[in-house]
Formats: sequence, C-alpha cells, structure tokens
Amino acid sequence: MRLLIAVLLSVVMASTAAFAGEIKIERASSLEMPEGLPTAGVFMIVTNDGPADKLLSAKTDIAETTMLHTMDVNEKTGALVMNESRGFDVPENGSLIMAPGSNHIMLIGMKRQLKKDETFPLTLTFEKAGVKQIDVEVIANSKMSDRFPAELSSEVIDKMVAVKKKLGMTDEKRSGWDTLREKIQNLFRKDKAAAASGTTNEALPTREEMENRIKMDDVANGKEADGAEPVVDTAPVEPAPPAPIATDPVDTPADTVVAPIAPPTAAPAPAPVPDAAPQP
Amino acid sequence: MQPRSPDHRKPRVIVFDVGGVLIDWDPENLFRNLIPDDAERRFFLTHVCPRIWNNQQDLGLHTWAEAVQNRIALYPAFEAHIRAYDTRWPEMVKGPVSATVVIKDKLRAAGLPLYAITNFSREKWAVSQNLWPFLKDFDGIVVSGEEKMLKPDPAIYHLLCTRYGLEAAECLFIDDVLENVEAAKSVGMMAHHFANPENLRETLQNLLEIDLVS
Repeated sequence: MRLLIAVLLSVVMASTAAFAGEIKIERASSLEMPEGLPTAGVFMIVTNDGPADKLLSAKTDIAETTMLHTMDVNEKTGALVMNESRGFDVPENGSLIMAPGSNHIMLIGMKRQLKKDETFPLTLTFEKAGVKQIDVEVIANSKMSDRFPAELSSEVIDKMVAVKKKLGMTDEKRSGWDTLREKIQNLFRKDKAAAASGTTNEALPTREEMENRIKMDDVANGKEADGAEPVVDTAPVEPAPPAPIATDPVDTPADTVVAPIAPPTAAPAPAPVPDAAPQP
Repeated sequence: MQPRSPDHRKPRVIVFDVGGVLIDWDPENLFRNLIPDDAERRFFLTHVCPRIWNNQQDLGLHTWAEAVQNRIALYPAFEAHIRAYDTRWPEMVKGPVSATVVIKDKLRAAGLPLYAITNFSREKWAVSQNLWPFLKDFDGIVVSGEEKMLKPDPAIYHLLCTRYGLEAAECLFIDDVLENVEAAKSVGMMAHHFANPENLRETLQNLLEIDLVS
C-alpha cells in the first residue's frame, strides 16, 4: 500500500515536474525535556523511492543552532563522540535513519522548553529534493522505544564494545554485565535442555534434599548464597562459551513489535534468534 | 553537545535506580508469608524462581505468562508459588522508601533534572507506576524490559545519555547494586552506591551544595 501511494505520488510529481517528490519523512520526533537543558535531539526516518539524495542541513526557530550530528566511537578511548556532519546520504530506494544513539539532528541553545504533545516546525534541505517543511512531534519518553527500537543504534554500541575490547578495557576485569549475561544465558540453556529432555521435578524435594542443594551452591559459589544478595550472586556458575546477548537481537514480545519500516541502510535489521523461545 | 570544562564535577542531572532505592522490593516480603519454612523458601528463591529468572523478564526475554508457564513445566510441585510470583508481585514491595522519595522531591524542587534507569519488566513497571505514582515523576526513564538491555550493561547508560541529550560526566547515578554503580563509572558518570537515605542525603548535600534537610 505504501509503495502504491509512493508510486502514485511520484507519478503526480513527475507530471507536474515540480521537484523530486520521492522523499518521505516519518516519525519526526523529539523528546519532552526538563527546563534548563540547553540541547535536544531530533529523530526521524527518511525514506527515498527515488535516486540517491543528501540531507544537507536542518533549521528551526526554536534553537540558536541546528547541526547534523553523527554518533561515533573514539578509537583511542572507546568513548562515544558526536561530530558535526556536512550531510547525511539518503541512498537510492533506501532510507536514512536518525535515531537515538545514531545519526541525529541536534538543536543547540534551546530558546524554550519542549513540552509533550506539541509540535514545532523544522526545515530540511536536501541536495536534490530541495526544501521540505516538516512538523516535529514532541513525545513522552515512554513512546520513544516504540518509534525507535534500540536495534537501530546497535551498530554504534557494537562498535564501542569492539573498540573497548581492542583497547583491552574489558579484558583485565570481567564486568558485572559479563557475569550477569553469562548467568542468564546458562539458565536459559538449562531450561531449554530440561524442556527438550522432558525432565521435570515432579515431587517436592524433601527438606534434606533442599538443604543439600543449597549447601552445594554455597560451596560452588565460594560464599554464602542468600536470597537477599545482589542478583549477580544468586545463580550457580557454569562455564559457558562467550556468546554476547547484548549484540544478539533478543526475541521481541508481541506487544513491542513496531510497524515495519523501509529496509534500514544505517543500521542492521533485527534477525531472528535460534535460542529464542517460541512466540505465541 | 556544548563543551564543558573537564574538571566539571558538580552534577547537573540525577539518575535514580528504582528497586532498593525508591521502592523496597524483595521477594522475601511475599514468600516469608507463603513459605514459612526457611529451607524451603530459600530453595524456592534460589532454584525454582531465582533472581536470575526475574532478570530474564527484566531483559524482556519472555512475557510473564510465558515465563511462568516454562517454570511450572520444570517444577510442577511449586505451581501455586510460581504463579504467586507473578500475580502477587506487588506484595514483594514493602512500600516506597519514603526518606529517599523526600530527597527526590527536594531535588525536584531545587530544579534538578531527574532521570531513572531501572531493571524492570514492561508489565511490572506499568503496575508499579500505577501503584506508586511518584515513579512517573521523572524527566526521562529507561526501562530495561522495553530496551532489551539490562544494567550493568554499559549500553543502557549510553542509551539514557544519547536519548535525552545528556553528558555522562554531568550525571550522578544512584544504585544499591555495586555492579551497576561500577558500570555507571565506566561510562563516565559520577556514582553513589546507595546504602541508606541518610547517607545519600549527605553525599548529595556535599556535591550539590544545597540543603536537603529543611
């Protein structure tokens, strides 16, 4: 349907020979903000059914300065850095994604506070498609992950993890996240194995059996295992091959699925995970 | 981002953890009543429904209904208690940590932007915000179950900063779990390991140079 509309639109545009009408802007959003913050990000998805184009600049009256920002990783420190860009490519028959943690438009020197449910005008200038006026919707933070799932910025995060690893910043000491991730994976794996082999624990264990299991855990953990301890200390540890969960897209509950968007070129699309539980 | 001096160490933004800091969540609060026997309760909370299992829901790996179903298949003898972990979840929260909530309100009154990063499943977060409306009063909240990321994964701290246009160096992060505090420091935030509200108040007063008592 979307394609049909786009085709019809482009036919209309071509017949009037006004300007290239193949650029479409969706989900133009910014976040409600507290008073006093000097900056705000603007995010959107630009789809292009025509030849390659380029977003050259953005402008709005509500900020002193408007910049196109790339999000990148400092190869020497592993820190996230934003750099001003001279333009974002909009590929032929593709899309440009501006999302949190990725390329975005930065408003600097806000003249006023952005409030939920308002809109403000933004002028985009494209190399070929020319000037486009759009309205940016200011949304509550709870809506953000539906519009821009975390996967859209996973490229930058993956790169940061890779750079830090290369710099030896994670090798010396395992981070708490590595430990927790491994334990979650182990439980996941054990549950799957038990389900596959039909193993169930039909009978309630005797008090003695329970006490023995707890004692064995204490010894295995080299410390007192206690229900009130921090989460990372409660599960038994088993050696596991390092398989990062963070970079694997995990299965998405049905209620978090967002409407499909044009094939992203700026970020990898989430792929199904073999390890994931079946969806209802 | 506007440039800031590197020695800028007065926080401009406060980032809260929720469980253990603002509300007193502990499965013991519910199961102390349901399973009075110490050994049986401990076995249940370390083997049948361990914290790590709860983390799977925080990570958005399953819905609660699926997770409960999977767990009952493994431990049918504990079916009633496994269901209770889901359906009677609110009873695991003793209540708000009122002294911390007072501090939060005073910070708000002093005009500081307040954010939260919390390990919470989507479903239980919605329940909690309805039960304790002060959990809605933040300028921005990152909920692990919505993002498919979990503290102490550094990515979830970066997500907060990039989403809301914050500089890590201007944030003070507060959490009762040491691993989460260390992860916050690793991304460049200031961090406070929460032990009790009095201690937190003192730290904040020193850093912010404002009065949080009167």
